[in-house]
Amino acid sequence: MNFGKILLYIILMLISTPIVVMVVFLLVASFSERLSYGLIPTRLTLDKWSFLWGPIPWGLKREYIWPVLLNTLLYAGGSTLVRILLVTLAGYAISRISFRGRTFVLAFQMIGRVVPGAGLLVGMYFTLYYLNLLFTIPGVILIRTAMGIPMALWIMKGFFDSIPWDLEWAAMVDGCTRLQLWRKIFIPLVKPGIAAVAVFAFMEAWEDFIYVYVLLPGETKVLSVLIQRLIATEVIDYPLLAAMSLFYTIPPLLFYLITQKYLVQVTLTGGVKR
Amino acid sequence: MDKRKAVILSIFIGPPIVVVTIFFVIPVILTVLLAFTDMHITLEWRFIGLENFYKMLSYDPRVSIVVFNTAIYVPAALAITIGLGLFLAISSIYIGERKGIILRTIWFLPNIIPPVVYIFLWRWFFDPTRYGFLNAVLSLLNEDPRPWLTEYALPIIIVVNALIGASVCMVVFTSAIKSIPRDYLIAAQVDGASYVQMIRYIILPLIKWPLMFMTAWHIPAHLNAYVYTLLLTNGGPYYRSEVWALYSYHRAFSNFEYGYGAAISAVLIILNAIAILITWKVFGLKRMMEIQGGGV
Repeated sequence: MNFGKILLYIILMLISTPIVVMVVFLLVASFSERLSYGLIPTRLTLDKWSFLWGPIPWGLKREYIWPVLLNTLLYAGGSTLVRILLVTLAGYAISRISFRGRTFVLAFQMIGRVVPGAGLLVGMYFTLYYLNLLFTIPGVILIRTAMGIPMALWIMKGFFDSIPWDLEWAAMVDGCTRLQLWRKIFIPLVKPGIAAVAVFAFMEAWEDFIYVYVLLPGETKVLSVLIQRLIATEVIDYPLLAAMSLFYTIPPLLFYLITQKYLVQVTLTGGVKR
Repeated sequence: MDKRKAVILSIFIGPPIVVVTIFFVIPVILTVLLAFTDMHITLEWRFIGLENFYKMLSYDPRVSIVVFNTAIYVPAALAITIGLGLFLAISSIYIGERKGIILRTIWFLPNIIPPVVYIFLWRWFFDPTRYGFLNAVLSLLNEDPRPWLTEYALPIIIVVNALIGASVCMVVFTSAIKSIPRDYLIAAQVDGASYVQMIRYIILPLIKWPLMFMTAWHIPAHLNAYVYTLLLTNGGPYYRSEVWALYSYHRAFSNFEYGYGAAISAVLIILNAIAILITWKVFGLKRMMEIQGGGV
């Protein structure tokens, strides 16, 4: 091995250290009583996971994690359902029906990716306020759906594009209407696309912070806001927070590790290309 | 367009258009309208013309600090995003498939971990007491703990934000490099080109478009990003890590000066629109889509 290659390995290891150390910390700390030198547990214990079966050992109020988890699931589940319904309809139309403005709808997905979502919070806040949806879960769901549609539509269109036209012609010859065609022929065939969009929508909402932080009231906590509250204190209980963070990270982590290869492809190409 | 087609179309693309209009387009319009009011806690509409923008330019003492921070933050974060992303992509291919996958998995993690957890981990890394990682290392060297987040607020938020971007760039650049025909690289090798020469004369020219596109994409992205900063330093200490987008958030939601906050956001919207238009002109819609498709 030559000098340059050794140097490269050293650089790669050095810059990767923080990330690796952090992941190790997250795993180790959650099973520790306390930590010395920031990373070495004094004693291994399951105590810090007690928030799963008892109140969260923090603050003066007795708080439980399950209502918070329920809110998170309602928000993430609702976002997923609404987004799927909207983009399976629109994805079909954009893939199969030619109409004026079709390019614009597609171009919109570019804009949707760049526009400062979080910078529009003032406008979103007032929109929801005037619609009487401020501080409600459906309100945040609709805001996030509107921002997520362009990307989801792009993915969905790719899946619709991959379905051969012959099927459609055959069904049409047999007298299928567009809506029947959509429901009976396409929906079963684009199930992988629906799965991809669903997973993205769910994870996006699950990991969401700023929108739920601003657009939901303090009482309707979701997991991200709960964890943020626990970080924003003077003295942080690292093992407790590590346990809760790990609990909160497990779904996205598992999911990405399992479907990593497939997903990167979906994100980049917008559906399976032939 | 005949009537039947119009009905069908409105069934299929009507609902998303309605949702996007009400919950996305109207917020944009409202933000711009609010920028010309002094909307605050009483929630009364009172148009005050250009007063907010006048305040921004002349007598708000914090604006100059915020502009200064943003002027450092955006180019620095952009440089790290693109540079590190490219470096990781090239090295992950250079060191061989198996080690490359390990490297890419590690560096994809910042994208998977939820933002609050990502920030929690950095908070631990830079904790001002001995419980933090850096200070624990210092204490092994018999040094006193240091308040990293107060001392180096701006550099830290630059790095923390840029790593997320670098993670995205790494994935895009890796797939772009992998789509370069093998023959080119083999031919170069046969001719005795060093790896550095191969990067300089083959890889870089051939991934020029994804490279430029990622650059164009991350300028507005970094300009708009403030969530990580809000969570990690909250702009502090004393506005030393406050960037433009975060300043808008603080005015609107910490001080309830919705009108002024909206005016600061409106500047962002204009900057974004310019960035999108330039990107559009340079790349063209079709090429933008293709690059997003991950290839060259």
